[in-house]
Amino acid sequence: MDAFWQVAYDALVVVLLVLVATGAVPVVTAAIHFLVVPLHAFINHYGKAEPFTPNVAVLVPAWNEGAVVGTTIDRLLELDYPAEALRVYVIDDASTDDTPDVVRAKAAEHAGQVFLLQRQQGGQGKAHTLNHGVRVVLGEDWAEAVLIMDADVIFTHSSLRRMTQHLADPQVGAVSGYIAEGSRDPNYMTRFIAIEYVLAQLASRRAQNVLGAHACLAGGAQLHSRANLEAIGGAIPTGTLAEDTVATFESQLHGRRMVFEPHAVVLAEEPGTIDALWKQRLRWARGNVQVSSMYRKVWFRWGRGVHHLGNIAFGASWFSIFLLPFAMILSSIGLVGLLLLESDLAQLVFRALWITAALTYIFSMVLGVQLDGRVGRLSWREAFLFPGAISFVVMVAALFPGLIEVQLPALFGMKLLPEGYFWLTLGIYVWISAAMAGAALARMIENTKAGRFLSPLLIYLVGYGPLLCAITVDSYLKEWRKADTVWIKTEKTGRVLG
Amino acid sequence: MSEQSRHDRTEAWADLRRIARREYLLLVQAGIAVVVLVAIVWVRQAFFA
Repeated sequence: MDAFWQVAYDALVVVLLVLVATGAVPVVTAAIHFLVVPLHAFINHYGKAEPFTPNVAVLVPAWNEGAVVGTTIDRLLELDYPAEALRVYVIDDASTDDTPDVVRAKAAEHAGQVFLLQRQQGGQGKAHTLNHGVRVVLGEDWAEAVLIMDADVIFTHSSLRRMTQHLADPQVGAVSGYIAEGSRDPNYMTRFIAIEYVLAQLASRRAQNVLGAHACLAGGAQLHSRANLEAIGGAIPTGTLAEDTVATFESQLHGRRMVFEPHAVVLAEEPGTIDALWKQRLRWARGNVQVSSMYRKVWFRWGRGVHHLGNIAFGASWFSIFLLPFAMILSSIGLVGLLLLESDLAQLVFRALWITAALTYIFSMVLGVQLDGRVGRLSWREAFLFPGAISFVVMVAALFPGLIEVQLPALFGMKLLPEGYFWLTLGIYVWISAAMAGAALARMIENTKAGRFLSPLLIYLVGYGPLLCAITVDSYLKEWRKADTVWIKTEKTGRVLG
Repeated sequence: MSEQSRHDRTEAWADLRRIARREYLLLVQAGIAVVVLVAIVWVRQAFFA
């Protein structure tokens, strides 16, 4: 009988170790992803790019964008791009503000270059609005490429030309630029988003260029060749909340190459509050849940078809983000179980896990702040505190054994008792899961009087990463409950840098 | 091809070559990140091992 219990005990320890290891999967995947980034110096598309200025039809979906759409049109017409090869189509999604009047005035001012397309019935989502414009531009012979963008983004002077040069290669179906956070009056939230965009675009999409598979070309700056749009059915796929991701997947499934151009910079106004970010990212995260299910026959099917979406590296990267909250929770459960059964082993695997996480975090952040100098100068604090101040301390504890639990208390003439040490360790082990609850709490109290001060403080403590994970958890729940897939538009005020 | 468009094309080629060259900066940036990592690991091994 003793032998049976010993086997059961050993089996339980192995199960707990496997649970802890699930937390290592996203960390290792991220580490590999960031190590691939420098290879973009050699493996890129510049060798096949050349100066190329096809006729570009710019589609600007607009619903109540009166505050921003005029500036957007002006900036588009000022781009370093031949005027005779550029047309702007604003698709008004039955706005109730002065959007149609603003566009009509611009169309009169720039006859033959600016067009107003109006939908009678709005509110069906961005893909439906875009398709109204896609039908019009594909119905004429003029357009050789179609640029899909958001009404509030500002293309920098040479951005479009830098994107179109990749279309000189007929294998390329679509190109995206770097959407940088560009609010004129940044706050803590926009600074966090700015550093996130550096990591998710300037770093991660370069890695995707190298690996040959793209998860999503940003919907705010997605340039398609006419042939690519026609190949995917002459329309942007509807039916999900992630029309840009589905268009990216469909293009690759049809054998076209996707290119991210890091030097085509597009400025966008991003949410300045937790609640606004939550609504925007919930839409994205639910869209990703839908995409994960929609392309279930694509994942991890290496070597099938002309695309690289079935690559193990690409699948691991996609699901590491998609399942990150689960990995964090399972890892916490594993660590707590081991602490109760085999505390020395728990300490060993905890150190291995968090040291790997710490080194990955340091490498990605040091690289990240250099990739965009403006964001690096503006958001270095947020880069530092991206995983949260408490996780930062946990990483220090893992990297430098004894510093937090022995040497620091000793500075104040204190010593941790065994019970205190146990509770501190337990707190550290559950922290990666508790941080998500802390982020959700920050959203709950944001609109209270104290919340205006406490919510940012909480986000700095628990981290921006756990906030995104908390939103992902919410997206699982909403999808599971089959909550309405309402398109909640992110509110814009026109405070993007001019 | 007009003089202006020839000039524009030359400029466009120069810009393309410039941004392609700028990608080599990634190696330096990644190198700096590796140096920071090595420094941290050295401190750990020297003082906390």
